[in-house]
Amino acid sequence: MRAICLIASLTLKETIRRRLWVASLLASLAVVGFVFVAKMGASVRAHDPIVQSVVPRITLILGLDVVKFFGSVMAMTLASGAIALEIERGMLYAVLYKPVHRYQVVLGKWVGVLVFALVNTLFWTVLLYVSVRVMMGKSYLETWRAPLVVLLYPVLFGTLTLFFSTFASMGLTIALSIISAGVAWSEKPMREFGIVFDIDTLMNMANNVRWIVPMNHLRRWVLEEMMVIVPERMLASQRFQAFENPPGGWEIGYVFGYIAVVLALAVLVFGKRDV
Amino acid sequence: MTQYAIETYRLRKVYRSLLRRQSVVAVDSLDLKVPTGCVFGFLGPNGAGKTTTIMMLLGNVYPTSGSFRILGHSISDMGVRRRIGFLPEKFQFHELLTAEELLWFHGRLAGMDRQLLTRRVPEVLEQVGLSERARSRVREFSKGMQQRLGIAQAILHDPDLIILDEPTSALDPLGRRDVRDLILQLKSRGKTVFLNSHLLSEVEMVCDEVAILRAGQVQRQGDIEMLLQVHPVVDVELRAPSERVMQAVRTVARVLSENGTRFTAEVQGEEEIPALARCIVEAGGEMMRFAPRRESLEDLFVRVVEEAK
Repeated sequence: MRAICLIASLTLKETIRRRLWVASLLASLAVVGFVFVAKMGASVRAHDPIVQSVVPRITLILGLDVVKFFGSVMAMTLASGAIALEIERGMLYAVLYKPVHRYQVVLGKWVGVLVFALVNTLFWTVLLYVSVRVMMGKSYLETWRAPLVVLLYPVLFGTLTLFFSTFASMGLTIALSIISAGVAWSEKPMREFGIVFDIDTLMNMANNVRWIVPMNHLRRWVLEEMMVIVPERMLASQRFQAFENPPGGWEIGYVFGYIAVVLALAVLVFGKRDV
Repeated sequence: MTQYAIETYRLRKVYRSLLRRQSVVAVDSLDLKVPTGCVFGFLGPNGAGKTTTIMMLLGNVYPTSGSFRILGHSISDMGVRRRIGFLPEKFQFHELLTAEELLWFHGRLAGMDRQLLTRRVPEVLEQVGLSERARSRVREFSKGMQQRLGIAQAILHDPDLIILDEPTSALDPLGRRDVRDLILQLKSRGKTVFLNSHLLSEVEMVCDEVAILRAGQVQRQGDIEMLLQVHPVVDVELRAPSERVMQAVRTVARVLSENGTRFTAEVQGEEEIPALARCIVEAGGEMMRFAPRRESLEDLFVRVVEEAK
């Protein structure tokens, strides 16, 4: 446990000293800016009660998408170099001969990367809620569980990237992470096109893809937690009903199982490889 | 205490490409015995398998076959890992840490407690000449200073076996002398030092035993004094070059190098040296210089590596 904490705190310390908080600050500005732009857009029709009711809710739903994106990218960026770069630069040679198990190195890196990514994601989420409250005068505290689900995005992508980092070079790790994110993202457009143009192949592909990287399970879970504020017109749309069914308990279990299995694979692969 | 700090038995490492179409034998049937308490030179040309061997000994690379023991135990034994210090050849430390923070991190990882580290960190920084830069970040260090810090990291937890992979490659002559002194000091305290270096003159100065590796196999191993006494070498300078003299010399000695009026010849034993002088004179050669000397480690290294080709 001590070795895991030591490696995690070193990873965290290095991340902070690398001034990644500057990127975090820029992302914070983007979150606030997003709410500001939405408020400006709504102010054009300041006397339309429907606009005034719908825009804050849409802003919060889409704002969480922005936070998910930043959180995932931050976790992927940190995790891509966590092991691959340290092997390339020879940093791990002076660590691995010590009385440390390799699984402790992987877990230490995982904890270090995720603590930084999660703290930032949580900060941006709070900033989003506060911005909506301050600029639009609305608070939706009843959706408090959605941000907790959003925290699973950096966990999912950070873990996956760390796994790639255990066997690939840093360049390949980044490429594999981007491909994974692309695969995960492609499910929704594939499903949409499949339904709109009635193409079974696309629907089947979408059904398979969601198991490769279960991002869509998370997306639907976040939406389920936000359901109380989803505008009625959006809820009633045929498209929404077709795509956005809430995930079943076993789908949520799959997400947690997936993260656990990927982490276990990272430990296994790093334990078996030559460094 | 075990008799050998390192023992390998038919250790072999084959690197295979991803599709297993090509394979490279990096280390082949390596049998090595490093006595406890000695300074051991591990020599070989580039690509001989030295670093792969070291990486296997430290558990970073898994052997394809064979086995080894470190301080009488398996390297998977965490207790034995506490007793090893290592300076890698190619390394980079976490550059945003200060020298002090870095040593604390490595010390804690090696299982040292805070009280011990509070005493040891300034001590080893002083030992490697970095005490004034304790609070400087590693990225501000020159390559030589980073190497000194690497040595500090390797000796911080007072290990019984210290493996140094090219410890002086980035150091100036004064730094090299400091490292030599440090190695001798470690030896005087009963520590075993396993030294991989291309600087043969340094190895000759500090090592008790050497092993010369080529193509992953040990070509020669033993006490350095014994190995160097086998074939004495004579440097000769003639007044004028003469083919007749050189032919006569080749009947009693092996000519290692020839350059105009000068040549270096190796004789089978010290008793052959007068015979060499006599045969030069009898062949009509006029000697300006006749200087017998012990074979240097470099001579031995070149000879062994070329013989093995």
